Amino acid sequence: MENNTNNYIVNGREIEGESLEGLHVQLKGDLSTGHLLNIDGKSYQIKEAKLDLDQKILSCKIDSKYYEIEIITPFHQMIQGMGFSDVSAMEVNEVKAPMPGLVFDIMVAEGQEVTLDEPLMILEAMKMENIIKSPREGTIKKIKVNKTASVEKNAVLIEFE
Amino acid sequence: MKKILIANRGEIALRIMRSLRKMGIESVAVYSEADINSPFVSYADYAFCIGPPASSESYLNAAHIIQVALDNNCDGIHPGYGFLSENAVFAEQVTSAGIKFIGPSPHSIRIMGSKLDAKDAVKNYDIPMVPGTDTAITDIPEAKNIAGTIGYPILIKASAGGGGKGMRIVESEDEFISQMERAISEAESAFGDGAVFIEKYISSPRHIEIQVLCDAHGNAVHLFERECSVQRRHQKVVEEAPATVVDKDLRARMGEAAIKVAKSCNYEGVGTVEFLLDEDKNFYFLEMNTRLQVEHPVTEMITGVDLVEQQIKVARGEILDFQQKDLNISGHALELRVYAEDPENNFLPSIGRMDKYEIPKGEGVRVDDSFKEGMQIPIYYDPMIAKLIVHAPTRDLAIQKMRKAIRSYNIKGIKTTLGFGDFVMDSDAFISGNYDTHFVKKYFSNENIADKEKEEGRVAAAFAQLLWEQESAKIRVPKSTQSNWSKQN
Repeated sequence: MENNTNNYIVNGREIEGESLEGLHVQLKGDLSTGHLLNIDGKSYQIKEAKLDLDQKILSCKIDSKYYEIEIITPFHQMIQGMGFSDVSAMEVNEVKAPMPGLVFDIMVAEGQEVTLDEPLMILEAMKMENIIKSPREGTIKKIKVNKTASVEKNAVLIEFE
Repeated sequence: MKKILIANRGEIALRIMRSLRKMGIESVAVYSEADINSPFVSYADYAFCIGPPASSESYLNAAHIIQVALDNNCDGIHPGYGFLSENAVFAEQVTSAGIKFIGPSPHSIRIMGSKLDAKDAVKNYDIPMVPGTDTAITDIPEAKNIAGTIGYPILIKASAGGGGKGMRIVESEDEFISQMERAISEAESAFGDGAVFIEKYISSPRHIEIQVLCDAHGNAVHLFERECSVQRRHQKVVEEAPATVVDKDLRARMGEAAIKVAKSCNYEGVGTVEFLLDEDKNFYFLEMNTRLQVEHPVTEMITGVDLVEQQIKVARGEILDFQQKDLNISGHALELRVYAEDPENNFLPSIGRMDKYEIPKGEGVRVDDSFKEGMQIPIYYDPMIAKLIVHAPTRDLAIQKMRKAIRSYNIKGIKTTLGFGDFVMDSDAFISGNYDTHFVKKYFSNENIADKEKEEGRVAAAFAQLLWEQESAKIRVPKSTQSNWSKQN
């Protein structure tokens, strides 16, 4: 991790700082009056730029499109690299609702052993049935919702042992 | 007519009310508990809550809706699209309550609502049809014989189907029997009616539809075509008018055929006749939609005709105030349906709160919606947020205008089809006008949007980098000063 450039998450998509190397960037104006950005000879109109130095988040409009940019500093990258915030490495003990919806059907019971990708329940949202599959192998400890219940996004549906 | 109830919700309810207000007619909204904060409710002159969020207990509750109309002395009920708009029983109930149903007669709705009855009705009008069976097939060996005569690939369709449900493509004879069995059982469970028919499958079809308008006195005109070939899951996402593939001669022939279809069921009001167009520009009648279509604005933009206003005039018994020769196409119009869906994840619904909602504005830019910032997307209904429509003198200019409008349509909090729209407007197939209903399957992949947004995002990242360096330098104590100071101590 000998990286000393920032990385960026632009509207949810990661962009590596290295990919910006070699760009010829020029900026005119300041935060209050708006900016004119020139990159390799092409200019962009920037408005409503707001930089939060504590949160390291920049929001702005570039040619009327809204952007939210998270700045990931080398220090932050190092922490990530050490695995402190690596959620995916942890054991998943819960299944959460990926979207709000109605519990249309539950295909498993408490105490049942399931395999990876086995259908657990069907969540109905916007007239469509979405199958919730098991994220892991394991035994179901508790089913937290009833059939026909209405659930919010991220509500815990199922707990594993 | 002085007061009209709109038996619908969202953007179409609001769009209908706008025309009513222009005509000096009062509007009555009915809404479910889920829509209490929706702009169409506050825009209406009167609004009544008719029940819980589920459509079956609110927007589909015919008896309750009619009662609200009676209690408020409404002269008419406008059903919009979807919900009760193509329900012949509802149209009948409205009529027998002494209220004008703004749409065709129950008879017309009934005929065109059944694919087999529709085929039967237009039989004597010399309308080109896709080669296939005239009646429902249940006998599998007989069906197999017919399929052999038509030639593979063939399509099995549920008689009561729609929206792509209950359709199956059979590529070769050996898979016919199993596919036929599954199609029948699917049709039974989805529509409670196992009747299916089989027809030739057109492999590179374009979806072209004709807008018709008929008064109650036997006058009928068509308002040209719309092309709706860009579809996902058999549902339209991008529509345009006119169609690049349709020339003057074809337009006249298709328009004439559409008027004949309307006449075959004594049609009244606005309606749409859908056709498939094959590679050799042969057109075939698909079905007639007996209501206002979602994509009607593109026709309004190129003709200057307000279709809702025309519906009301026809419902009042007026004679059409223009003839076919008075209608002209002016410029080009495009529509993008903005759905709360994630195009990178198979167009699955993306639900949540709209933390930011800013619509594009400008000449020739129209947004039909019923949302405001901070609103939750209700989970109970169709995920369409808005329709973005643009109009320009030429197709190229319309595409440019659409791209600009997509950019300045800022939505945060949920995923939408705006990025997909941008991909379509930038694709060679769409720009050339040479595309068919397989557009999404042929050209679109998850990476298309991701790559494009990353490329664009580099500009934003470069700006962030520069600003970060500038601003963080201001608050940092210069290192050299610090070390000098410590040495002195």
